[in-house]
Amino acid sequence: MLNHAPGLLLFARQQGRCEADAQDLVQEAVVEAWQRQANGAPPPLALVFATIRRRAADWGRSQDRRAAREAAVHAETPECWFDSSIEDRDRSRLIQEAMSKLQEDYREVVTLKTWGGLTFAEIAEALEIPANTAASRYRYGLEELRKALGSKVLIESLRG
Amino acid sequence: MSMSDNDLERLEAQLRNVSPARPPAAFLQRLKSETPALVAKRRAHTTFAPQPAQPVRTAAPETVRASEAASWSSWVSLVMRWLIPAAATMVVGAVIWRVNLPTARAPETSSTPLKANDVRIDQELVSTFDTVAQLASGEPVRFRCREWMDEVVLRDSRRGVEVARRVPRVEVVPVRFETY
Repeated sequence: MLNHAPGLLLFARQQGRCEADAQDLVQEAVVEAWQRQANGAPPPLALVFATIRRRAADWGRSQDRRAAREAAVHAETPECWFDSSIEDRDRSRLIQEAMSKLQEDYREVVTLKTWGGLTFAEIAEALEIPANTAASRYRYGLEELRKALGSKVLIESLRG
Repeated sequence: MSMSDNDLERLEAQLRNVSPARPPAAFLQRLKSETPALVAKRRAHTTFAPQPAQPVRTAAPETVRASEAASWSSWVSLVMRWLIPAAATMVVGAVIWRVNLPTARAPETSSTPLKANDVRIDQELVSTFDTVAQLASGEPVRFRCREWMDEVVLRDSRRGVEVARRVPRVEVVPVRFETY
């Protein structure tokens, strides 16, 4: 499960929460999903992502709690969705900006497929949508990303 | 303008080259410390216990307090998620039960016995005749026969019910010739 922690945390961060919320979301989702396993085996990754998403929605309803966390957000360092080592810093920033502007439906699918390592069937299970819908959202999401990124990332990639 | 498959694959490859940000060490430590506890708990309790586990906190105090608040919030939301529909179902069930109450009791009241406050018994002689028969010893015997119509009328004036029963009855009385 620890191997998937970066992907899980990335997904939790994209649910519109602050860094502390995202960490709590991941931890509690892992605990809950694990407890749901009858045989004590590690839970399927799709179930953990689905639990993160559901818990994020529950938390979003608690406006009081959210307001109380606002102050903590400002005190923390700006959250980075992607690895920002020196050579990739610009590219990571561009992708994060593009991803943050992406429609939520698309962003979820792109994240789960690209960095969560889920198949379309698993994404469908996690988001409770048909697999074909997941596939089409992924493609539309990538097209939107490409429009947002323009040629910047492609040039960077060719240089690399 | 839609992307070609080639463009799609290139963009996918570029995105995959960008790794998600590394989780903070404190968070990984929390997650790592929680996982063995879960396995041990699972081994100890083979049945599923749905209560949320208390995560091991190694983060900053603000984060710990926030996590406790989150646990409480999620627990309350979980309870409310089931409590509200359950309460609504109970209210609807109670209303339906109250509405159907008179209808349900109707057969019961109809099966209660009649409480008559007026009883009338009448006997009506319909016919009378004599007949003569002969015993095995050859001695003659006379029978006086009467046909009666017995009538019983029960009246429950409170409920406005009247029940009448008419039963025919035959009365045969042997009469000796000497007494006749």
